[in-house]
Amino acid sequence: MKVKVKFFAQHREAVGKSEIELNIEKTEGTTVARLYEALVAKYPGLAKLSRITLAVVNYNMVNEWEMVKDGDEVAFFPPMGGA
Amino acid sequence: MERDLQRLTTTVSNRDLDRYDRQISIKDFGERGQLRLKKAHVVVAGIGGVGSAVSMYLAVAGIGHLTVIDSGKVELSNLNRQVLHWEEDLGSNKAKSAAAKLRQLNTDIEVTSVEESIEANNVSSLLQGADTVVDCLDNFSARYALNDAAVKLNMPAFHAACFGFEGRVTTIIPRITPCLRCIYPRGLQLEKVPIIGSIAGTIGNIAATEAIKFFVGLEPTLKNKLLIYDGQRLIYNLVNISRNPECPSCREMRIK
Repeated sequence: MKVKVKFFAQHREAVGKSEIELNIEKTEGTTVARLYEALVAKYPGLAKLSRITLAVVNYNMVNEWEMVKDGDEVAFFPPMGGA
Repeated sequence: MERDLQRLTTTVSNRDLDRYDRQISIKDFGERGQLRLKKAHVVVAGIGGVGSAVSMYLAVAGIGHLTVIDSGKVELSNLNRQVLHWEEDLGSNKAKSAAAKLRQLNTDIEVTSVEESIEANNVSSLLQGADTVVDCLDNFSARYALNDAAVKLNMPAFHAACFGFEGRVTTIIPRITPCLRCIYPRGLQLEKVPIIGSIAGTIGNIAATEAIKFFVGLEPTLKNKLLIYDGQRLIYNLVNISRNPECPSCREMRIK
């Protein structure tokens, strides 16, 4: 299945892109957490930011055990505290 | 007590009608809206890049009482974004520096400066008597302390933060919307956050607009929503956010 993944703040710096399309094998139970693991394998720079503090699917905040479906748009937002 | 009595008897003066004419003439704002701003007491926590914008626009809008809190001293590397602090203020306390400018921007309002850092043990007393707080702090431990106190005091809070060309804003109404800990259960402590001043200004002004709407009686747009502003690509995203039933800060206050 194909999902669009958007990156923000430090994630964007680590990946070097603001969004990608990711092809992942459709297994039973592709959760947001598993998707993030697949991203870490592809972009090792994400490993040090691996705490999924705010995950969003199709503009809705979700838990990390939420399932991801074909065609979903997933975004990860590392905590932002600067001013 | 004296201040409460003063607030009850506050009216819009002829000078106010003149000074704030252009906003009073906004449909849905009117003299009633102006009076509500005049009676308001807002705390701006942190007078950095975001706090500078927030406090300036709240001051010129006629918020009756502004309290600005910051324990930091003005440094040269602040001046790319913290527009309330000038070269002549290098080494001065930021709350004091900000208050001096805000008093010049609007002599008709009361400005209080507090030269303290926000911590779990002093934050409740610092918020006492205020109607709302705008969170413009630069670190998560202070932001969490402020959040927890605002939730306990049932005080609406406006959260604003930046990173690089990006910014985020949300309006927190305890018991109604997610609090900061619902959104970010764990903060990320960074040594130095990259920020460009124009983004801090944009984000601060969005938060100030939300606060003004709240007082005027217009529905704050960012209730249950996190605004994600991407200035590099010029995109505004609104993300639906929800309360965490296990949130250590606001769970006890959940309406059953």
